[in-house]
Amino acid sequence: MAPRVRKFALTAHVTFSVGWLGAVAAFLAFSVVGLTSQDEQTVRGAYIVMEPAAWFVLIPLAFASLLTGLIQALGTSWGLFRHYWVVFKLLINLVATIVLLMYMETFGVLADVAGDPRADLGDVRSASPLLHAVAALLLLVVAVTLAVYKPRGLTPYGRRRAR
Amino acid sequence: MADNGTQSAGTPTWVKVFGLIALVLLVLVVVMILIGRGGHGPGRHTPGGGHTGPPPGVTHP
Repeated sequence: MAPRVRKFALTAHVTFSVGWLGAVAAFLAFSVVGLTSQDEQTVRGAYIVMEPAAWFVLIPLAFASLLTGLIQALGTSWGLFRHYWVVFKLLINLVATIVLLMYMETFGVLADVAGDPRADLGDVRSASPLLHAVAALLLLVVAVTLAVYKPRGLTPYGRRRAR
Repeated sequence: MADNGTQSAGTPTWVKVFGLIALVLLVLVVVMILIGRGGHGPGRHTPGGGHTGPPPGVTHP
């Protein structure tokens, strides 16, 4: 890639990836509000807003991060499978995106229950989004740390290519 | 920032540590899925514990 294009691609990747991290932090806030608020409408609203927010923010950012990461890896000398830190970042991104897609059904159920005025508040509250948001935050912080520190280590494939 | 040049052969310690952590987490998730209801759907997370229909006392038309 030409230096200008590479810089643009890197900027896009950092923007989408850190944006994803920030969006997960917002979900952490929704989760805490849903579990702790004493106001019924606030609790129900927290779970209702999670599903559209995930469709319109989390999923686009996850795929944008994955796509720009692939472009960044394949378009530069880092490669996709040459360095362990790149491989780990790819795995983290894939796992987080797959779990997010699988979790969308749960967001839908939580929103349905929260939107039903006959459902008890105890049935509306769920610790699951908090658990998943914390796990996602940890994974994404590890990914950001790997991207910044770029720890040394060539994969066997990377060693063969380096010869 | 690390350079992109030549690096010593062999698997670095951090890779072994990360790999071990990833393996432990993978086993943990698999065990939780096997102990649970065999999936990552809403049944694992909703208060009804696998009850994916409407909450108790609620009937949809």
